[in-house]
Amino acid sequence: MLGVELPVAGQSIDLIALVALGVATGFVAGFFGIGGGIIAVPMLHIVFGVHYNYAVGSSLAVIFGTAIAGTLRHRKLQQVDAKLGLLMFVGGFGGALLGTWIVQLLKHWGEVHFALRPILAVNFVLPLVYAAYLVFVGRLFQRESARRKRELRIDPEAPFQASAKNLLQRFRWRPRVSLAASGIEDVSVWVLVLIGFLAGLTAGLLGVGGGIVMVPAMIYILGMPTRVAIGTSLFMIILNTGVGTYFHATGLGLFSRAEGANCDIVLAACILIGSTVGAQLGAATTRKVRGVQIRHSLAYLAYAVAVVTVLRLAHELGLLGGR
Amino acid sequence: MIALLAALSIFRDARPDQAGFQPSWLYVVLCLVAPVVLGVLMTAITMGVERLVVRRKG
Repeated sequence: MLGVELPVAGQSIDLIALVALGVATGFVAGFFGIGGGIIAVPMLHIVFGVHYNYAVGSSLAVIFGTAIAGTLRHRKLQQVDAKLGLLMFVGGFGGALLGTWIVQLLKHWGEVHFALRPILAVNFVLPLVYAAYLVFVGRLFQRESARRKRELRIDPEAPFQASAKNLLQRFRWRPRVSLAASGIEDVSVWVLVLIGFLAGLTAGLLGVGGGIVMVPAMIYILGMPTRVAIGTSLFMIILNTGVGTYFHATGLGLFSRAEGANCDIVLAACILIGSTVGAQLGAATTRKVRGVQIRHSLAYLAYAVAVVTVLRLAHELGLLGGR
Repeated sequence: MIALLAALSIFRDARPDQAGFQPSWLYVVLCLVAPVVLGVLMTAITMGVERLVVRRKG
């Protein structure tokens, strides 16, 4: 066993196993076109016993690195609406800050008792939030892929289009903007700030890029073209995870810095080495599978990770007869 | 590994009275720069290998 000492998480983990987890999460990320945080964070706790706060902080650094590398690979990112991205980042900054504060607060609480068993608050609350988030993601992709399958049954050549009306565009709150690059004629700035805030919150709290929240919101709520939505989402992921990494690296606390840092750079580096290789393999595999099947299987993957996350928590609480 | 940990100790703010890893500003910079450098480097390597494999296959 080639152990690697994690200076911030304060434990030793087998280097090969850690890189292998990176390859696996990178493969999933490349295959499904997601950041990979929704798999990496629960798995770091389930497989290696890394506390959620360190898993979240380190995952953000990994996604920050891969998002920038991904942007460099797609040099022709003319689908990025920078104006929209920056407006959303106003909310994203606040969301990432609040998410980090919540993690630090949970860390500050230390142990809580559930069913007479002591457990770290961060390892009790975050898995539950994670499981709920994964079920939400699974449901979103399941509904979308089912709808797309119905469309393809009627017309096999039907282009991918958003069918939902611009729900939040009905809000008339001022100030309002027009975003030509995204094809948005008139939208309240508050709507954009709200979507950015939710994406930033998921980044700071759960260690994910937030693309799963942003892309459907941009397509189905704002009515943006899919390519511009994906490009702008990637731009937002860089901003949100960059800020989230900074907050988690500084050890930002609610009242002081006494809680310490959450971002373990050694842990992040080991996963990053594996995930960049895995992401290429995953992306190459997508050529052999239809998009609708990919989204359908992501739904079941999200459900599976949610179940395993809850089972692990139940095991830690001794509800399954063990500790 | 010991060398790595020794190197990392310079990134630690010496405040033994406080719990957890108290980072210095150098550690924060490292957390922001290292993922970018590693991500770009590893992507370049894997893309290079991919190109080599494609070329060999003709």
